[in-house]
Amino acid sequence: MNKPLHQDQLSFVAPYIKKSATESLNTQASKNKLSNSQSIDTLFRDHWLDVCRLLHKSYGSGPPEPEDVAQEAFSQFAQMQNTTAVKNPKAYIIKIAINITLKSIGKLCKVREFIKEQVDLEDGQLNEISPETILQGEQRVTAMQKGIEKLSSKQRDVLMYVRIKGQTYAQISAQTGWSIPDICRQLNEAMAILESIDKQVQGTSISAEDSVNEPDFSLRENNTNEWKL
Amino acid sequence: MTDKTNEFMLDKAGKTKDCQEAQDTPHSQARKWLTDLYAGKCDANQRKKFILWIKSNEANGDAFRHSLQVWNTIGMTDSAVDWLEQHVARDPVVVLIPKPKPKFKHRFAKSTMWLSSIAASIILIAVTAVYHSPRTLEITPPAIAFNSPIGQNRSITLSDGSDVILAGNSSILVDISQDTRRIILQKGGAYFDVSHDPSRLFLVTTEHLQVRVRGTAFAVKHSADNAIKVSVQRGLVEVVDLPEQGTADEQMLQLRANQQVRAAFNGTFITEVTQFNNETEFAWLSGRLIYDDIPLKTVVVDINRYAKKPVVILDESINDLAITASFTFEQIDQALDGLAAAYPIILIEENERKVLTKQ
Repeated sequence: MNKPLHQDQLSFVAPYIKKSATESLNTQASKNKLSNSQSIDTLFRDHWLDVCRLLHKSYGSGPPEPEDVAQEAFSQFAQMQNTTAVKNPKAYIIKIAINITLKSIGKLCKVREFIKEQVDLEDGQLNEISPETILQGEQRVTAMQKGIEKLSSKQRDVLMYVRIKGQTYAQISAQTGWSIPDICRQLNEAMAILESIDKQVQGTSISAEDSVNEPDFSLRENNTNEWKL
Repeated sequence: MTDKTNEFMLDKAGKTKDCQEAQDTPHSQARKWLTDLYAGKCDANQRKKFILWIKSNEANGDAFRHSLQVWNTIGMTDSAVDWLEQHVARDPVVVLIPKPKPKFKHRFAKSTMWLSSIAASIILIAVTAVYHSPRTLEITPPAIAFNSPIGQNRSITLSDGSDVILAGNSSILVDISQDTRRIILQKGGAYFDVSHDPSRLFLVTTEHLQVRVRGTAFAVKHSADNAIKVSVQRGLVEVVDLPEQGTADEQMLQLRANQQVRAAFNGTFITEVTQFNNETEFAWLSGRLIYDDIPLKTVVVDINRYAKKPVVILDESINDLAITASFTFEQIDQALDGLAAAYPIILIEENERKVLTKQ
């Protein structure tokens, strides 16, 4: 440290001193940012409480705290380049928030890391997706959406309990009273249906070569908006 | 490896009494592995078998990757959001006491404390039994919660004589008995000055990290990027990465005075043991925040424990801007103005929050 900061009342040591903080606000770039910020602010005002409530009711009080997750989700959304292409910003922000929450669940972190260690990451088939690829991979997502609608109520519930709430078979069984073998079977049947639909959309029998050629779902390196399971 | 061999391996690895569906193709096997992994049905032994399976031939790897892509895509659908909203509406969650980690419970169940706590927990048992079958009934230990408000630290003296200072907007659960002293840091950060007691370990758990001591002074804080920081002021502590299951991969390191380590929420150590400046690291105990070349995102995490309005960074390019500054909790508004004047950032004042973005 350059000087004993703890003895100062209020101090900063800057790499350089700006001419004026107010001057910078007058630049066009700043105006653009401000405009973008205002639209985000509108979203923030309209949906902040709903997002926080949904997270709190779905995942409890944390950690991670619903408010922190929501803040991060809004922040990530604001940093996206093509927010105008998003048809339903609130749903989109919730998806980001779900992703952030699941990334913070320790047991899922370990599963994800384990899979990453075992799955070859050099062939383009990665298990992480940036939120912006939702737009790029719209066809695939739409097909999956329709597939999920075709599932039975029980299959959909089991799928979402595991995939979206991050729950284990034992937790689901305790919560619903369903047997673990039944839950296991329902989940695998649901996945079989969705995989079959995905194969049709991709027009492939899912060979190694085919799967490599799926650029919409490849990982963007160094992207902080990475989607993880 | 032939398909026949492949099937044999899965028969051995994946067949359980619970789920004996036909598993005769790489795709069905891949689904089974993926769902078992994410639904908590794969112990260390099964993971070894999974490794053998996925490495055994290319078709298995391809099938697994396809299942994984579908799994990812499910999270991108509006159906996921719709389901969550409907689920919340029909099954409102009542949060009684935040649950400790499963491992924590497991250890608790083996201790004599478990028996002595039954009477005190009887109401909780009755309530939780509605949601849990006998097979998985979980006994929530009687713990006392302490919280601190945004804007100020809170000092607490525990029943064993240990002193705790909670940073702003922090929360701990405390369970102290004749046999044990257990703290769960739920959010924020806390400083612990632990009274010496060789018969009872003092355990602080947060996420998948546990600090074990008998008498010393140290701080544990949630930091930026979902990290946990442990800083020791005096004495010796053990920092343990709590494994998900069993004890096979438990990692432990020792920290001495003026040593620090950071770990991810999953318990993985993400830095080496480093030295720190005692005066700056613990300045928050006396109402001041001091930073010497510290990333802006870390500064903002601390500021949000004490600021009247939450501060948000809207441009990730400034997350790692190195900040050197010193200010008291009461000077946070001035400090933010000062940061905007001294660094290439803009501070935007909004109704509900303050926004920092790139200049």
